Amino acid sequence: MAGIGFTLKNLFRHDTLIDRTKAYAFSALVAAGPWISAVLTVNLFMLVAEWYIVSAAERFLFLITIVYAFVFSQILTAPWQFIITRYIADKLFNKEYDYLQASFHGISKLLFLFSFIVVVIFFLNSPLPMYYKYLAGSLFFVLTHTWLIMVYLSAAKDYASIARAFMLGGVLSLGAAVLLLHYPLRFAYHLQASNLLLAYLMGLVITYLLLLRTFYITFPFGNNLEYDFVRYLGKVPDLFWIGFFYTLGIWIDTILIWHSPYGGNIYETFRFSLLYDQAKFLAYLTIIPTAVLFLVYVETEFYDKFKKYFQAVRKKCTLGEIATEKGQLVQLVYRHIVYLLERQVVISITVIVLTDQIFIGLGLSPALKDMFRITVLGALCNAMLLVVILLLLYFEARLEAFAAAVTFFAVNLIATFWFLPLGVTYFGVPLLIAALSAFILALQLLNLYLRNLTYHAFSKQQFFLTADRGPMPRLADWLNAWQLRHAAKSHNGNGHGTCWAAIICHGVALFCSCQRP
Amino acid sequence: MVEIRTIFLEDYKQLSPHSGRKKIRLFSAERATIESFMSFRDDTDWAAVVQILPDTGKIGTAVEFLKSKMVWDILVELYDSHFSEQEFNLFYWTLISMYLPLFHLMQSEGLSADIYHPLSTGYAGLMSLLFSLKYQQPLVLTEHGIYAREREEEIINAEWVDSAYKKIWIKYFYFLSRGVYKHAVRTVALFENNSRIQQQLGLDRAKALVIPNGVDLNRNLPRGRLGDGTNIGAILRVVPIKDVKTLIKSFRLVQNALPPTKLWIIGGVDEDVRYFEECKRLIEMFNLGDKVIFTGQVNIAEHLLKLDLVVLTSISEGQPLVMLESMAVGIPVVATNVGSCRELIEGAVGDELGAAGLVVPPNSPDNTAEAILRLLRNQALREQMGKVARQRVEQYYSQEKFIDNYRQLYQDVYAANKAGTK
Repeated sequence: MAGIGFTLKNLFRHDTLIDRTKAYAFSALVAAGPWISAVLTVNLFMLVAEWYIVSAAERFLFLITIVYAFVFSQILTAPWQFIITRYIADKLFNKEYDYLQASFHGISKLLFLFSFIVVVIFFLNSPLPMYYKYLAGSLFFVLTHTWLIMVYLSAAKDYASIARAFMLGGVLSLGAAVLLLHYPLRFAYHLQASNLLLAYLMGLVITYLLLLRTFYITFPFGNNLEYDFVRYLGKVPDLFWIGFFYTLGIWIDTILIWHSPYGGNIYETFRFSLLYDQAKFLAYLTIIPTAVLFLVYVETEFYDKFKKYFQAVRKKCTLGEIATEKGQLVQLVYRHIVYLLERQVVISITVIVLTDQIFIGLGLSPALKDMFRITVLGALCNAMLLVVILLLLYFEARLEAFAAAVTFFAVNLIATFWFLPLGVTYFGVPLLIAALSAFILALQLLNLYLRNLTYHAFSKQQFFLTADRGPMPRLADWLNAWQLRHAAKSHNGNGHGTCWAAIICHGVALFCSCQRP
Repeated sequence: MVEIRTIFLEDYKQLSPHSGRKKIRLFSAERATIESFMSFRDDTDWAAVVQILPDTGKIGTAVEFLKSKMVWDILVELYDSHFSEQEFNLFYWTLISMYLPLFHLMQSEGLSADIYHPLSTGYAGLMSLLFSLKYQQPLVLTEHGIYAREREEEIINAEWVDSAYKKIWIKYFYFLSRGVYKHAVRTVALFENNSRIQQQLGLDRAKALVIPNGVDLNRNLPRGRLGDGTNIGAILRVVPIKDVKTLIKSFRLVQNALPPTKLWIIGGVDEDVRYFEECKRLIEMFNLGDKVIFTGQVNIAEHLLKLDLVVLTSISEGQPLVMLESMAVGIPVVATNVGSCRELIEGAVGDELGAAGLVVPPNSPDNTAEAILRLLRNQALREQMGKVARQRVEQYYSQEKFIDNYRQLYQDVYAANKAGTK
């Protein structure tokens, strides 16, 4: 969330109702845009599919493909998001804007490679037809890159085009869905699911291309050091692992349930749990408000006080004055945490109380109800945990954040093993316990850390300047050198060219695979 | 010669500047020792310090230790007691910059020996003290100049040190000096006055010793009369402490009285380029361009032969080897009354040989010119003083005597150590 604060602050400065609404909308967009868009689109797809009497099996295959793509693209990119966010923040601070485009190219290529490997391994022994695997893999690929570009675009000012990108993509995919259901492409197997998937994919691709356009408008200049960001794996490796363990912590109970006797298995490819997956998906929608609020508060009020404190540390203040600033900052931190907790608790309790009505309204199976309630609480704790982890990261308390993330993962893992034999009624409990305990731990660590904040502020500074040493900087340099040897003449052309090439490849491959009897 | 090892003050930069913060666990007595050390208190138990600071297993590297909570607490106490009105940021970094090389040096790889002999206090003394305590072997100190005094003068005049911190910098250097004085079994000064100053600064009188420098008499060429009464020499680096400007001003006065005279400035000109330029401008201003010759860094022996006298206008000196070498060749010296110069020219207590030259006050072109002219106009006086100079060096400042003194010292110290006495 590197540069978003500037935009938000500008919006708040005018302080009219419209601007405030815009500010919150923007934050909602950046914080939860992809999720909201996905949920809306998928649900609309389901409605459309029902309308066109797509078989339940086909609908389900489509749904599970989407879920897998979302979940695993998140797990793959989250660690990188943490690293890249830090990299972007540093580069913006140093006004080295050309590194943003460069690093985007580099990490895109890296993630291309990783997502390719993941897709191949995943679908290796799957009996699904080749074209379906191809479509699903492409979906995974596009989602990965969308998460990635959103990290960069949070620094962009052009929120209108981001919103447009998602809307247009969504609308287009729905349109394509309707079209393809009328005039489906003649896939041999899984006709309906494949067509739905194709429609959804097309919408996502359009979204991504539009985002890409916004990206290049925002960051028109790059440089040749595309793999410079790899240094940060050596500089702040803990960020990577925090992202990794945190995300895995959210999903590990789901994954274990999938592989348990309670889980189902379709086409020897996708494992699932009918009830729990739905419950979780819905429950996590309820914490979007916290994500939005956190973003707004942190990036505006908190950031100002935060900056003031660190200016006091760096400039001509006595220790007494520094202590005063610190006191105010710490107070603010706790006030925000309490505020967020209050808001979210109100929302979550409301949802829990109104569960029956919600379920009737959405036409959901009552078997889900208890699971849903538990998971809503779990999501609440998860949201608060994330808030504290992000605050810890703000203060560079990376070891503490790591401890919280690992605890989250470990407790969820162990608790799932413990509770699984106890049956369906306990689904969601491990997540709740894990999130709650990790949240409490994180709070304790934050408390301890803030007490000694000034000590940390000074001792974390570098004592003297040296050249970067270690395996990661060397790897970064090697990759940069290798890339330079193979680079095309024009830098901008490189990105665009790759894009168009990818699209054309897609089209051709799809066309070819369709022709199979 | 078994080994030459070079230790750089900036070696700490080889450490990782980001090292993770180590959880330091020390006993309260150990913490008190560290606190005393970091406050530069003279009653610090150095033996205890040497048990703690070099132990990387216990406290980590210098960087890790300085980033620890324990050190932070000590720094905050120090800040609250002496610097509470100061900008904390500057305080923190000033002190870290003092401690970083110091602590890293304390973690140097050991060097075992029978006797440790530093030639100054300061960091050389520190290293010797460290190893002396570590290996339980005696420490013998020789001071050419009084290191702590010199640092004090430098710091007082330094622009790069914030005035609030000059005191602690000076305290730091005195702390290092007194640490060595306390633990040395013998401390050598080059002349009586310096020994007295050492004792004033805390050296135990019983350990004080005077061993003057010595020069190699045989190396010097026999003195033939190549000088013709017009060549004045100054053997020095062109730096402010040698006060070359007073020299030039004196020479102008001499030049007016005796036009044929030439001034030879023999020594390096690269150390302080700005000062050198200022001197050159002064020479131009006085129109002495062809009378003052800068030889640069050359073999002194060749140039000594043609000089009639040597001038030293320094504002601070110890026991200049330059004077001894000139006197060894029988050249009379005009020197300022600093350091041991008077002792060399007029003789120490018990030395009845006479005057080997003339003593003048520092920063005084008139007096200096008068002394130079007196010698230049009187060849007999020059020869007489030159003879005294040679005799004095032969009797008191010969290399043999110098080596004998030290040999005796080492033997005494070694024997005493073996016998378990001091």
